[in-house]
Amino acid sequence: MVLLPLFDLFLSSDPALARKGPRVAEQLVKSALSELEQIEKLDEVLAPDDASAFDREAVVLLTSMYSEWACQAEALLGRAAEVEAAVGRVVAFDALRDAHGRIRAMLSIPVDHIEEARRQLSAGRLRPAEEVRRELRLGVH
Amino acid sequence: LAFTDRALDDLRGVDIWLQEETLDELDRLAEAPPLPRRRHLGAVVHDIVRDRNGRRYYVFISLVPDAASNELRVIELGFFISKLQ
Repeated sequence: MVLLPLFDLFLSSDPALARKGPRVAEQLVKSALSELEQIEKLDEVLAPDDASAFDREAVVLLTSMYSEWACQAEALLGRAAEVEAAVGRVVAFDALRDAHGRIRAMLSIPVDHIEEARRQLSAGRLRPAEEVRRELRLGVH
Repeated sequence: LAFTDRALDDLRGVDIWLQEETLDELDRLAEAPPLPRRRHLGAVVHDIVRDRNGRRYYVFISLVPDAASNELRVIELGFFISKLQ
């Protein structure tokens, strides 16, 4: 999202130029979503074929790429409020908000938890869905 | 449909209504493939989005289908909540 400073320029400039803000925003959102798509493609290439395998180096690398993307998306969404206050709703921001929410949910899983889950999968330590439902309803720990 | 202990612990961390929504969605997914195409760290990714009380809840689910046992395995879950715009 190298175009972010350009967006700031539009927001701070004269009203005639600022009216182009929504169109600039749409382009920035497209750029951000395209960047995310590239990271997701790298994810597919770097990931092990066997999902139970755990490669800490690859996990840390991918996590930091997604994390950097999420921070940049937040910077853009922070400006979204300013744009929408001036010109009304910009639909393109909704797609970015949802992509950001999905990625933040993914990043909420610590690397150690990913490793633990893959170890359990590899060992075949699994619980049937009925047992999981029962335990959650009973609040069993 | 089966879960790792890690996935069960992840579910314990959220509100009961979201646990139920997530389990219902996973039941539907297990019964009606095809699975989503998105991948993360070698696992299939399925996202759930729910709106409630002015908030949007995002659920990230890592899945591994096991063809031999015809079982869908839930390995870990992540959550994020944002204010609805």
